[in-house]
Amino acid sequence: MQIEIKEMEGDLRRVTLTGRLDTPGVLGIEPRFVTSLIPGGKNAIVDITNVDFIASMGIRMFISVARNMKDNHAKLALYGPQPRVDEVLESSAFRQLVPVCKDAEEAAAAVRS
Amino acid sequence: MPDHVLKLPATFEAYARAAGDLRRMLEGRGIGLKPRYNAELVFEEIVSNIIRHGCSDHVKCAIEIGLRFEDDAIVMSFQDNAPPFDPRTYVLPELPRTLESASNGGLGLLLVSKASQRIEYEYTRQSKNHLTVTIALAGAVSAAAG
Repeated sequence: MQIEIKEMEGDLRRVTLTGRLDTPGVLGIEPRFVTSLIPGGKNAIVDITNVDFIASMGIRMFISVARNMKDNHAKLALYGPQPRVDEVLESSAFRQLVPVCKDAEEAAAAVRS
Repeated sequence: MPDHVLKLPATFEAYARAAGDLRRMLEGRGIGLKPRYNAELVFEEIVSNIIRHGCSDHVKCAIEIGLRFEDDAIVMSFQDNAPPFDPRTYVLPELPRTLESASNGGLGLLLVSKASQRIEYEYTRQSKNHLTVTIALAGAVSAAAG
C-alpha cells in the first residue's frame, strides 16, 4: 500500500492511495494518513482510483479521519472508486457520511461546499 | 472435501501471505471479478476478526481455511481454536446516518453478510469454531446471516 500527500492551492491537500485497503494495507498507511490529515484544519481529497480492494478496516479509517477533521472544521472527500470498491462503499452506507466523487474537481467542490 | 486448504498461525504476517495465496488461487481458477472480490472480502473480515478478537497472548490460535469450488458457488470454511463465537448471533449494527453515529464495531460482519449467500456455524467436538460461508458465483447475493 502506497500513500502520497500533496499540498494543493486553496488550502487543500490531495492524498493518493495505491494498493489494497485490507488489514495489512491499512496498518501500513494509517499512521501517516492520520497525522497528515487531522491536524491543521485543512480540507482533503483522496484519490482512490488505484485502490483495488477495500474492507471494513479501510472504511473505518476514512470514517475516523473524517470525524476528527470535522471537529477541526475541515472536510474529507474520496474520488475515483473502482466498481467493486464502490459497491462496498455503497453497501456500508459510507456515501451518506463522506462524499465519494467521480473526479478530483468534483471532490474539491464537495469539500469546499 | 475442500479443493484447497490454507493453514496459518493467527498473525498478520501470515495473514498477508495467505491472502496472496488465496488471490492467486482464485485468479488461477478464472473466478469472475465480483465473486473473487466477495471471497477475498469474506476471508479478510473473518480471518482478521479471529486474529484481532479471538486470539491473544493467552490463546495461541491456528486457522485453517478450506475452499471448495462448486458449479455455482465458492464454499469457504474457516476453523480456529479461539473461544466459541457464532457470528450469526451477533447483532449487526444499523447503517450509520451521520459521522457522529457511525459505530466502530460490526461493520466487517455486515460486509460478510452482504457478500455471502449462506452462513453456517458449529462449535465442534474438538473445541473449534467451524464457520462455513457460501459465495455465489453469479447472480444476486443476498444478506444471509442467520
